[in-house]
Amino acid sequence: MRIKQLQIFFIIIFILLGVFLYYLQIVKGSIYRELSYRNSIRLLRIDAPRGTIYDRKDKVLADNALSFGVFIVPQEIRDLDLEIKKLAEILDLPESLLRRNYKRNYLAPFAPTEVIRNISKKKAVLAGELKLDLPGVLVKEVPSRRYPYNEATTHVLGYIGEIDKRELGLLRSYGYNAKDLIGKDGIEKIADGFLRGKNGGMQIQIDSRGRQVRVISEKQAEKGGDVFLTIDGALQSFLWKMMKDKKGVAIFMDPHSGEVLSLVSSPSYDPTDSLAKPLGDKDKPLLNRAIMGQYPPGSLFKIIVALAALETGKARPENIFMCRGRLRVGRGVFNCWNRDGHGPMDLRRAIIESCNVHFYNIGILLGVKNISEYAGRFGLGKKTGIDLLGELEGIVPNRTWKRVKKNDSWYTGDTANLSIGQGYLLATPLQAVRAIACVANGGNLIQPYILDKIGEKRVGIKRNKKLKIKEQNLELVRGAMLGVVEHENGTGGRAWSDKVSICGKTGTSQAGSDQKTHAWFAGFAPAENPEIAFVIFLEHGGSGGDMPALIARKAIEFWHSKANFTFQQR
Amino acid sequence: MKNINLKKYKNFDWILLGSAMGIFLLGLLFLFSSTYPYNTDYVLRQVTWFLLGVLVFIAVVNVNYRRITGVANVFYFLTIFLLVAVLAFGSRRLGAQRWLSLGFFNIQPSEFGKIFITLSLVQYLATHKSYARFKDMFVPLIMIAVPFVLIMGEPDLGTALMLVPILFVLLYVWGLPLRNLIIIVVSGIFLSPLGWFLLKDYQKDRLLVFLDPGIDPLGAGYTIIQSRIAIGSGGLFGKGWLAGTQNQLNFLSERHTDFIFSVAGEEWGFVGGAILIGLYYILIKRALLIAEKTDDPCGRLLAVGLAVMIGIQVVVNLSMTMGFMPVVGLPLPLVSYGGSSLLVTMLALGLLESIAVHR
Repeated sequence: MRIKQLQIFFIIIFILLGVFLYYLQIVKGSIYRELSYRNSIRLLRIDAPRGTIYDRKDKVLADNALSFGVFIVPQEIRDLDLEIKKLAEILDLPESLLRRNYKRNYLAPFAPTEVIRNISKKKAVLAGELKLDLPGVLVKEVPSRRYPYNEATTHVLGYIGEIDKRELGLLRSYGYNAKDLIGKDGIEKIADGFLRGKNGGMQIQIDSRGRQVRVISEKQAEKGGDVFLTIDGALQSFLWKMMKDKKGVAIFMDPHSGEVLSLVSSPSYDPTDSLAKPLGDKDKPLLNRAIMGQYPPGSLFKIIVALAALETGKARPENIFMCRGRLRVGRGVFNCWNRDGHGPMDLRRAIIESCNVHFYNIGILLGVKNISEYAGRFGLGKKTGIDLLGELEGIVPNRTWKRVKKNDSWYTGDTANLSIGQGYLLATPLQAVRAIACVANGGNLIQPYILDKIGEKRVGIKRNKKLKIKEQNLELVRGAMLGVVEHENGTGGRAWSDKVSICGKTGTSQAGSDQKTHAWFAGFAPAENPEIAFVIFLEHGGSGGDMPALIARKAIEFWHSKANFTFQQR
Repeated sequence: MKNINLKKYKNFDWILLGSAMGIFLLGLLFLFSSTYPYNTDYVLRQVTWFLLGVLVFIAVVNVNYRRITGVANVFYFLTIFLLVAVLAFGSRRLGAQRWLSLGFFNIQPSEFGKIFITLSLVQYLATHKSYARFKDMFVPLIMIAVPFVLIMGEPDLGTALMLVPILFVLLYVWGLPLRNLIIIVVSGIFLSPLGWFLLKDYQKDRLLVFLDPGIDPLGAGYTIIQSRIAIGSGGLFGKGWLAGTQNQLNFLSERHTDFIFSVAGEEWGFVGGAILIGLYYILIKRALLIAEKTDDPCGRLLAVGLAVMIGIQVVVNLSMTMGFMPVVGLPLPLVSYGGSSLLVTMLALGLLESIAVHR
């Protein structure tokens, strides 16, 4: 009887065992299968090589160089502390740095963990020899971004860095992942989606201690696409050499198409180095002055005022104003740069000699409304739309602007100041060269651009806007600009070249009462058939007719000697 | 063996033996896989122990079980002696002092203790029939308590706890009034919190971890979690022999001994696991059938005791491997790697057949 009960007891128990098993394997089977899969499969990323950035002549501006990195394979090391200590000794680097990198990059016991990269070949060889002493130390070639022109192109190309939290939040859905390298500025950032390629990966089966058992599958990384710029590497580097010990901007562009041939902003920084140093620098090397620097254009602006006066008919070329070195406007006295006075000046001479008094007069005749309207037409006060990041608009003041921003009325004195590009007027060097290009190309407001081709696809935007300026007025201004360089009284005589005829306009603008003036020189060449427009700007660089004119001449001659265009010989 | 009377073996239970052999052969496959690729050594040893077990089996079948129970007291005191010896001179493995080194091999006295103590308990109960009185329970209780404490001291919680159901079932089948049995059980439950303080820290950990394996997923909970994952991931047909990732990639601990069922579950799936459970059920069912058919109280009690001994081990081992019970170190009879356990199970099977043959 009691044995029967025992039998029943065992029947129930064994049925229960069967139910347990059924629950575990059939009901929950798929969950546990997933868990067991995750247990034993790890993914290892293979970084895709980034695309190359070329200049207009297919010279490399950015590519991937093989540099050397030291790795530790965690599963093969015996004593981590000892290995790191020895490595630090040989590489002559702080132990703490290696340890920090190791911790940061650690992924799995089988995955080579980077402790340092970009070491010299000599050190790499030394560390390589260590392999015999220290198991698990690996010296590998790692792809790293290389910029052959280094600082010269940083403000155009930008740099790359590890993706940060904010970027990851924005871009995760576009296939970006943690630890991805991503373009942080310039072309590297703008064309990042194309340059970055597709990361590959390996599925690795591991055992319970995380050691690699075998590779289950491997997906090769796809190299990113190449990008072609309008930049001319040689000219860029030539300009950089002239500018690097100064603060300022040099931009060369094709006045017809808007292709930017060179864009130099100095000081610059090493794109492969940490940003800590440039961040703390009081000269602000991170600032791309070409598009972010806003300065009073000074006498450069006289070109626009002159054209405005001619177009509106407020002034005629033969009108003569007497310059006695100063002009009384309202209750104030406005000076000419030439305190002795230029004497009688027509418009052409006023441009050549950059006579302020003449422009006070026609400026007042024009009125602030006309001046600011023409400034706007020539692209001031709004972004040029160049394919770089962080561009600023500058300021074109008018009555409303002053009322809103300064809560004050517009005085005739303000107009006088505006007429010579001073006062509230601010422009970026890129805006300046764009306006000058407009004069050179027959009145087309072109859009400057840098990105020419992405892969095979041409992306350069040519959205030109015809300004409908009378050719005879442009001709007059162009002639005056040639005079600036070639006339005996021209303010830009230093730009005179025996090889190329250069048109230009100097600008020397107030930059605060106790600081050295900003120096501008902008123009185009050759005079007869303009092929390049340029601006040279030196922050607190003194007089526009000095250094900037000199730099412009040298750069144009360099350009000419390279016979880039069918430059007309003088 | 020339004077073997074949007629004597007409009651030999071939189904019992057959299911046991089926289990053992399946077990060899599991063992082969769980120790792959360094398995030849383990499999050879297991087979050697099995052959030794076969000799014991044949010898015991031929001997009337009453002659064995007759000297049960000798076995009992031998067991106590060995258990004391283990505590004094035993070798430590995995933090427990369970093994006695006998030259070429080690034995685990607590494994033999299970069966010897059962034998002497059966002998005592069979010879004392005045079970209505309360005091008659005391001798059996003391008989169990002494080895229980000694085995706990090794510590070998699983084997020690095994003695408890054997005792109760035997008392029950013996005919002890249910009232008395309940009194013991209830007082036992009230005393059990005291037992908590007798437990080693790792045993407490195991109990806590059973309640929540997430407490310590890489430590004490690891074994349970990985074992569950292995069995669960086996699904209906399993991942195939030698193809269990949990097993082959080393995620399972103790997988050739106590946790060998996780390998079986992963590689053979629900089908394999159910077949194994079915075979065990047949084994237990046949053992209880032998008890039922036996008129001799001694043989009857012995058959029940042995059935419970094997049956409870199976149930506890499978439940803990599947994570439905706390981890107590108990081998899976006939399957887990280990000579002592195999030998003891073969001895028990021999005794069962002896009862069948000699009733």
